[in-house]
Amino acid sequence: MEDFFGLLGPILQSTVRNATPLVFAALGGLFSERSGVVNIGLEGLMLISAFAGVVGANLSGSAFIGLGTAVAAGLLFALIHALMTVTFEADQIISGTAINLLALGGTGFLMVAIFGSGGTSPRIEGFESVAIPVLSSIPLLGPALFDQSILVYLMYVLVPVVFFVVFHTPFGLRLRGTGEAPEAVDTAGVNVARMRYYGVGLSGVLAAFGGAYLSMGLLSAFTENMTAGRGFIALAALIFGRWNPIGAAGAALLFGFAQAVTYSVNEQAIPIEFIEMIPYVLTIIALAGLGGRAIAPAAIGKPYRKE
Amino acid sequence: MRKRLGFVSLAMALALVALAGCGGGSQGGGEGGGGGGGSDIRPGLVLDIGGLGDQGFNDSAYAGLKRAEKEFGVEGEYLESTAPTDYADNLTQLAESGFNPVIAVGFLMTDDLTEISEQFPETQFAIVDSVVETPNTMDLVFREQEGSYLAGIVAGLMTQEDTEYTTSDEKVVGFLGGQTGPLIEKFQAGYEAGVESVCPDCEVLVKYAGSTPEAFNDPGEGKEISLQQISQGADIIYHASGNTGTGLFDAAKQEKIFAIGVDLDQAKLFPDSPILTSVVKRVDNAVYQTIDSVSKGGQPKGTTVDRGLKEKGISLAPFGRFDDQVPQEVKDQVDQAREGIINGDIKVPDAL
Repeated sequence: MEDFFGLLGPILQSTVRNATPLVFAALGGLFSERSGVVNIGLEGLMLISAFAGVVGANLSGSAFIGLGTAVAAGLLFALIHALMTVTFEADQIISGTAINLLALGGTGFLMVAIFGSGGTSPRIEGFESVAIPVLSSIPLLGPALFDQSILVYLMYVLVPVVFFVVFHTPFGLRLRGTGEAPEAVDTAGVNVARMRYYGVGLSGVLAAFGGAYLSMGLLSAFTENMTAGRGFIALAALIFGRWNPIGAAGAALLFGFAQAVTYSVNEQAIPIEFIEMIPYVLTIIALAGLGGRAIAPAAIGKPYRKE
Repeated sequence: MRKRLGFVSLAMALALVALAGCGGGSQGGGEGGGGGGGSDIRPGLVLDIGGLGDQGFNDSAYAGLKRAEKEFGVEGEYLESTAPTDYADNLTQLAESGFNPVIAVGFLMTDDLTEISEQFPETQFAIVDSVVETPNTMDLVFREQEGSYLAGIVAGLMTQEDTEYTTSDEKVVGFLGGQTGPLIEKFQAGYEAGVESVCPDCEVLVKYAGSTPEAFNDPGEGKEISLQQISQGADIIYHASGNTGTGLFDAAKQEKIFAIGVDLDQAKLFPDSPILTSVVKRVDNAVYQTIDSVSKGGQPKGTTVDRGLKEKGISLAPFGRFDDQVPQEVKDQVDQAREGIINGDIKVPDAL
């Protein structure tokens, strides 16, 4: 047990690193789903952005330009999803799956086209950890929270910002209305299609930060399929957090903590298969209505056709 | 509007199919031909998840195919697999198109190959890292535990030295595995035995990245596991985890510890990471020799070819740029153990 407390510092640091891409993607999914569009393509959006970020950073030599290309790519592919689902009224799950497959095949193909071989890209200069003076010297929590990449700090800022935007601004009200009762907001003069484009577009931008964090913050290279299911875990965090930014961030931290603990405890102590299923089990529990029901936006998944 | 919806659905479905194909079977194939009097065999390779550019296992197998194409003037083909569901399709596709031998690169294809080799009794199959009990399948297995034992000796001794990357105060070393299961446990068992033989009170931290094939392709997780082991005092970490290991190399660079690579001489592939040595597995030779024996008409049939230190199927890469940081006693101990294993004095466990 004493051993465990000695490990707590590194575990907390690891928790924040594990949770960061999940929080970004979950916040992205929140905008999309609150506007009434399921975005199962988060995984693919993260992957495309992780790749585009590395390409941008590799060509320009600047991590910030890389972040810019990552966001541009995430936005572009999110808008393809919006075009398919909002304008053409295609099935949202199929479109999202197409985005995921496009990301997997497309990045694999472009790896060869740009870097000459698949697998792992050349190293790039990513976002190094930046310790915040004073705060980072707080015992235990300091290094975990305040000795991280700047993308992590961006994540801290975004959680309350997203909360404020979604629940305390006219834009947020319209967005939520679009996801709950599109007929009603339409009658009130809100352009439902435009709100959904905003929602899905924002999901691409936020997922892009998550992808960029993976390839340029946590690591400093792109590896094919490096998101390894994080987009789906982020969706689970979103549902477990009941489509609320604070809840989703909390769920992501919980999943990140569970992972961090397995990295450090003895192999035999907890079977690895058990840890791998935690996010999904918790999601099922949340959906099964234990501890209050998780209710999705009412109009989610349904294309809206103006009468 | 209805019509449009149908069109879009169709377009999406087509896109799905096209993309799945794109991911599943990026085509390769080579120049190969033209060499005077070349054999008319057509070797086919099904690569595992990770695919070309993994700077490990798959690249090594591909190098073997390339060498065979060049030397025997044959024209080969390879198919990449992006998911376990691709194996059966890829194997069938090559066998149906008349490729011979068809080599499955990776133990994950065991079940699919067992079935498919029965459907194509005339084709010579081979599988790397596994045993398939059909009469037309050759098994290309390695005694990875032998090389891992040598890596364990290096780790167990170097963790007691003071160098730029190691400190003598904590006797802790790490092992990062990919997918849990008997194959990677061979690496672990050999490594642990090697560490134990030179440093009985050393602690070996062991962690696997997961229980699915994706565990070989998650560098993010590889880095986190490595950082945790480093925080627990590990100053040398050996990995047998495919692409996941690139996360270890990242962590080793960041935290200034030694990594030990696997499959290829990874120090050459990741020159900016402190990779002390690698356990090299000559998958390329296994592929090359299989094509060689088939091209000579000698059908290898269902034999098992087991390669270890003795057959030079497994070796420990040179210390390269860290050579002057490795004391002579360490090198001597490694050499002694290598001889001991080759002449049978040292029995290395192949399972936990």
